[in-house]
Amino acid sequence: MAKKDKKNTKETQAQPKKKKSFKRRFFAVAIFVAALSFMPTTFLVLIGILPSFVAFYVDEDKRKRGAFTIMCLNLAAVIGFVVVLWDRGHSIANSIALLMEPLTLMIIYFAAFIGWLLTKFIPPVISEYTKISARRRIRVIEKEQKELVKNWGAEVRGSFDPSSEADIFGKEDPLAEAD
Amino acid sequence: MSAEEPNKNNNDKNSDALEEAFDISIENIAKSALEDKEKKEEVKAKKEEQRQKAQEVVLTLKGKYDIFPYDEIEFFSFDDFKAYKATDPNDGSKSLIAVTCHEYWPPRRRFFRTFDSINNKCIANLVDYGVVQWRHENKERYVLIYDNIFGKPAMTDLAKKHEPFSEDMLVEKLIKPMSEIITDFAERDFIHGGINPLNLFDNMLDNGNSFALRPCMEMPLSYAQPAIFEPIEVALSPGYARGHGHKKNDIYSFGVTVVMLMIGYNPLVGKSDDEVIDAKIKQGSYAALVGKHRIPAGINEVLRGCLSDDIDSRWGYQDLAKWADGKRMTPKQSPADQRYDRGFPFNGRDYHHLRSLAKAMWSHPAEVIRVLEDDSLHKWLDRTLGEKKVAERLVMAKRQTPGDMSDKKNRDLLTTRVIMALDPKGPIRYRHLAFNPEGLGNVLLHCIAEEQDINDIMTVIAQDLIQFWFSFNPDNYADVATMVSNLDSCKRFLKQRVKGNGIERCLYFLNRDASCQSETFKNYHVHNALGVMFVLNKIGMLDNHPREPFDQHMAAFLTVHFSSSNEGDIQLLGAEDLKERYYATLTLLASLQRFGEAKSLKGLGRWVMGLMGPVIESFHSRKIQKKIEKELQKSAAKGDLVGMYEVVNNQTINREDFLGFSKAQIEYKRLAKEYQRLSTELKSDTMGQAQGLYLASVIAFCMAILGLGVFLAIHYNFL
Repeated sequence: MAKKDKKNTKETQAQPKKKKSFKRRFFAVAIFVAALSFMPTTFLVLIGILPSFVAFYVDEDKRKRGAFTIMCLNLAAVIGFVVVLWDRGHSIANSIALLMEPLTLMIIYFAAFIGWLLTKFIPPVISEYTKISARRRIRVIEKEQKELVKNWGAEVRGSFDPSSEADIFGKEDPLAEAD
Repeated sequence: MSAEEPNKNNNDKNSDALEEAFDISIENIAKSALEDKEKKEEVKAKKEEQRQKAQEVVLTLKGKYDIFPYDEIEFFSFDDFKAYKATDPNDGSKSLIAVTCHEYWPPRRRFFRTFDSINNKCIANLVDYGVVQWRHENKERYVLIYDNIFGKPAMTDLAKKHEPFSEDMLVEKLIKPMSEIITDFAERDFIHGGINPLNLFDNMLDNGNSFALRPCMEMPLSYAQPAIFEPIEVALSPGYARGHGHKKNDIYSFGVTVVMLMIGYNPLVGKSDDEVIDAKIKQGSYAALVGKHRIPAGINEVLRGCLSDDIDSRWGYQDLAKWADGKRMTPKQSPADQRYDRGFPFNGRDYHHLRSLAKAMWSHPAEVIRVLEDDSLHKWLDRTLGEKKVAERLVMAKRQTPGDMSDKKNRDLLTTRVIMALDPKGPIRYRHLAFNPEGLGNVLLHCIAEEQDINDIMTVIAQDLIQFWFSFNPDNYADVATMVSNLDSCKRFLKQRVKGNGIERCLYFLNRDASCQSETFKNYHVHNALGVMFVLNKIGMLDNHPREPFDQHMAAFLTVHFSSSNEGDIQLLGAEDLKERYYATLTLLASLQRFGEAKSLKGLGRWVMGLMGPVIESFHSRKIQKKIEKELQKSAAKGDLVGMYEVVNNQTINREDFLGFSKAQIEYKRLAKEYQRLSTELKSDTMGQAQGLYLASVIAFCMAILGLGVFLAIHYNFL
């Protein structure tokens, strides 16, 4: 009996995996079929979003925010040229011709470059701004805490860990660097 | 010749030596006489100086009576109980006498009302009483003022001979009036405890046709009564330890007084108290006092009735009154203590009386163990005398004292119990102490006031010696249950370590008349709770007062004499936490002020204000602290301790402070956490990077949408 139960549980555990893999396979097949069906578009898109692929590969951030930034602009440019392709006629020849036009890839890759620039320069600016406001906040906190001690006595600190108090009134002043 | 010469030489030498010694002794005598004279002159000069100083002083009691401390009435003064002339300025015709009380022996305050209700021409009225500032000595004294009806004393010295009284004079001047007084006393359950010839004076109200009895309210019962005037069982303990006594003790004292006035002298003069007691034990009081004197038959009847050693067969006040009314009675012959033909050898002597043996045992406890170990005492009692009951009591005493007899404490306890077994009516005798149960309070007072060892008294209480004594005397005391319950309470007080307990509480609990023995009050007389407050207020006015008002004695005194609802505050007077201790001090003083309806106690206000630091600091808010300090100072300046208490105990302010502080603590904690978070983040290089990337992606998305739109617009020629 026990053996049968074990078998059953194994079966039930295996079912969702099968389902999952089936779904994935189904989508993969569907995309593959769609890609084959829209071969000219697929060709243009694959060539166009190469920088995004590279960005996703290179980006170490778990949430891939940098790659997403590059992809947004890269994809927007690719979409624009996909619309141009569809206007000229949806064929491999037109797709190749469009790619062969120098402006096409320049625009597409420049858009990706703009995305890279944004990723490169905006975070340090924001980081610096955040640090400045954090230091300002620390000063305000110190002032407020001193005011509380002045009004209520040192016992207002309660059972707060004294080691952490060193941060506030002691040796390691986080603002020392800024000062 | 040759033989004579050395003799002559020797004689010369001897005479020289004698002359020299004689010269030296004369010189010494002259020197000591001169020194004595100088000393006497010095004392005289000092007295004169004091007298001159005192002459400038007239003291007043309650603003009503003038007391002249330079005008001492010497025949009425006794030891520290000095008598002075006093007057009532509103009634110049009244002659008064002011008697000061002892430094620590209390007057019989609880009997003042009873005494006041006695209306008899032979006893002086107690006009008033209270504390008087003895200015020239810078001390307070408790003073009693009597009507001065006292003339010449009946006897000035018990050792001197006086003119004997005739039978008629004795009956008319002494026995009849005194029987009335004794009846008045007994009907009110009042015991005088001082009837003796030294306390009898010619009564000036009837030109000396009767005697006036000194009231003796200024001292504890029987305090000054010589042992000869007390029945044997009472005389065995010192005056102050005799307890409440028995009505018939006054009858006995009266009997001895009659004997002395009738024969004109003390028949046992020259004998020590011990010898007097021994004589009474051996011969019986009547035989020991009257001896071979010829006594008129009528008086003899009174003496036999009054001097009976057996309290049950001794005359009562009704018997005396009947005799005074002319009814003649035959008093029961009271035998002396039973004499046993075969004596008991103890410490080199044979004892034929149990009481004498008990008395000897008290002096020689080491011998007691010997006679108990060889069982000779039990054999003597049981087999030789056939005193089965006494033998049983002895067995009980031994059984009650188990433990190692090589320990001195155990030996002394056993001795005490054996003495009780042999002489159950005698006082409790433990080591140097001898007292009747109700005299324990006075014994304790004596030890504490004289700074003697109190361990023996603590042992008496802890070892239930008094309860054991009661087991042999179940009928002698009306209220044994109360006394036993009081002693149990004392045992509890001794065990408790908190303030207001201990031996001090036992003292004031057992001796309700005792004044507070605090060192702070050494120049004051404090006998009630309000007195504590008023005297502390006086001391508070001085600059050299102690740091805190209450000490252990005051705490114990207030525990007994003040409301029991304040016992918690009194216990907190010993708290380690200064805030709690000083808050309790203020609470207690405020309760006293409220109880006494005292308006202004500026001395105490100033004193307590100096202690309020920790109480003020117990409030968290600095604003509230300042506000409270200001209000406290205002109340302290007015001497309003109740106001001070209300300021500190304001519930609204307390709640405001508590809630505000809790909020502030939470806020501080929140800020501290935020501070920690920010400081940790500042240390990291990636601070703000994630936000930057997020912003970049948003901008990129917007640009993509916008760019695509523009591209398509250009492509379809919309632009």
